[in-house]
Amino acid sequence: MRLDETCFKEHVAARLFQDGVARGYWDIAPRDGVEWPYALIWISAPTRPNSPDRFFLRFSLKDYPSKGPTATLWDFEKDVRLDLAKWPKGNGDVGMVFRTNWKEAVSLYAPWDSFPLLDHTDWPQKYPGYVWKPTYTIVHYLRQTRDVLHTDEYIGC
Amino acid sequence: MKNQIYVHFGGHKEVCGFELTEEETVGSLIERLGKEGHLGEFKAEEWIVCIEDSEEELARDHRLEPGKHKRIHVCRCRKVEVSVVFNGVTQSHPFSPGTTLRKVIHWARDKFGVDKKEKLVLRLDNTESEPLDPDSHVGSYVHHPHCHVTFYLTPSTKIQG
Repeated sequence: MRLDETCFKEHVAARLFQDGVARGYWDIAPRDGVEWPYALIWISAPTRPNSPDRFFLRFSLKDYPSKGPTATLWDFEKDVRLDLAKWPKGNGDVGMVFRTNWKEAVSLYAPWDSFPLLDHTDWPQKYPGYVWKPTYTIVHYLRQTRDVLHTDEYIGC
Repeated sequence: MKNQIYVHFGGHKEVCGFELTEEETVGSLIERLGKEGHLGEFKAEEWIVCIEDSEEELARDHRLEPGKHKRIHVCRCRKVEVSVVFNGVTQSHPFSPGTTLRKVIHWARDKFGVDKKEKLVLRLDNTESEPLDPDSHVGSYVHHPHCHVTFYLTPSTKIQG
């Protein structure tokens, strides 16, 4: 097994990740055909009319944790990126993190996602503490993303 | 797993799940945790148990019930002196060790008069460190006999395009 995969599995088995599982915040979503460096994880969403109670994230985790994760919303049943019409909608950070008009929504538009950082070299100064560090674990990504959803700014899909 | 209780330990951010035995009391749980090596330097009489976000310290003979006591804090600090720094101003308050950071943020918002719409986070060490888990307990950030911690209160990130 590769070192990045070993690290990821250790972090998933660790108490911080598992405490989120116990709280119903997130968990691994096993699915046939998902192979390293990819992983599917769901995060819970607050109740909104005609909206799901969870969203699936498809992570790319190559060189984790030296390099930060990148993820996009995923349709678990169809095994494709979630239809843009079904992405979370809302004001403030919800509208930004889940924006669908940037690079075809290939990733979340968030400072904790490694993909947009490639184009936003000022983000580490602009958003200190949020940008990925090799000492962080996948819990950082999940917590920040979930926290964005669990606000009044989220209005549903 | 229906008798499971989640235990937050003083000085540690990790949380452990434990199966409660029949007739489990605070005293018997402390003894068990000590024997299983969870309490390090173990002197049973030094350790206390409190319920998450409750000011109440449970008596030794208090019976633990999974439905009622879902998350508890086990530590040696009876109170945690929490200082919160916001815009260079410090406010302090003694909290029960099982107090969540969410509750501290609520207290700090009132104390500093921050608008309810402003999303806030607490950080350790400085205003640029990783935002802390609002579900974690203040007791998890102190190491007995030093029962004091300083947090930095900042607005949550506002992502711009």
